[in-house]
Amino acid sequence: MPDVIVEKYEINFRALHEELAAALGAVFTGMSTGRSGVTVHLTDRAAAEDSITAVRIVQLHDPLALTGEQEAFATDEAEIERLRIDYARFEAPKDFGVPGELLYRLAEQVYYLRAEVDWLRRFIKETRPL
Amino acid sequence: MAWTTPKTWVADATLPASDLNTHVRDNLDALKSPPSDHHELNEVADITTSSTTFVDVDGTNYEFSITTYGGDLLVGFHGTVNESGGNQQVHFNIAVDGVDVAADDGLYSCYGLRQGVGFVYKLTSIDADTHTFTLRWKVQTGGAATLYAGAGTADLDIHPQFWAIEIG
Repeated sequence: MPDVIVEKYEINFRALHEELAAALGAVFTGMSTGRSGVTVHLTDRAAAEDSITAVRIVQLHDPLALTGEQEAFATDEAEIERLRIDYARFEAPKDFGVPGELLYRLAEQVYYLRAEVDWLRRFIKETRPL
Repeated sequence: MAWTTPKTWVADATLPASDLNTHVRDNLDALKSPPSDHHELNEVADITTSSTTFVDVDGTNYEFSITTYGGDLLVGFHGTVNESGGNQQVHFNIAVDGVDVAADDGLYSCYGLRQGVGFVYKLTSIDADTHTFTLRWKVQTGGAATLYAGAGTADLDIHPQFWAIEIG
């Protein structure tokens, strides 16, 4: 069965993949996007009706509709953002004393924890479901 | 220019211009300009797939034909790939005349976010003819991979290249 190509460029990749997988079942092996729009990959067992179904799903696809996983991710992200305090300035450990002192060491640990949280925030954004 | 098996010279043999042209000039030309092709992507959108069977990465740019003289070829690719979620494999393969070179999971695999991908594969005993070379890929079930294709993505406006060259 040849690939099904639909000229549609604004999509929610993960949501469209899930819609196609749910409707087409085992004859659906995935989808691709690029210069031609959306390409739906079907197995040789796909019937003509499956191609028609694939075209219809892509054409009717709403790019703004999120999957359950994406909705949960967005909710978590919004909650993290709501709880975040945007400190205008973050004091460096040296502002708390001299190296070796207890308060300095505590500040140093907070400083590195903050760096780690910043890194995790960037990582979470990058691993957002497509 | 095809390669000609060099003549074996014997003592007192004559050295006509035609032999020099055929066995020296033409063979140097063949070495200098072997059959080859290459493409770099500069697209308006990056390329993404969730296919769990090998499919063309870009059937327009990353599929080309060259006429070979018979022998071995090198085929190569480099690019940067992001697997959404960062925990599924992305597999690459090459097809010659529509047939995948390797079965199973192909020739090369990467894993994770923003991975550099680069490989060179030697094809042996390719007959003299016009052959089509295609870059192919697939992902592990549940994954979705993006190849950055010079589409202006911030800090990832990267132009991957796919190429082939006959080496003898």
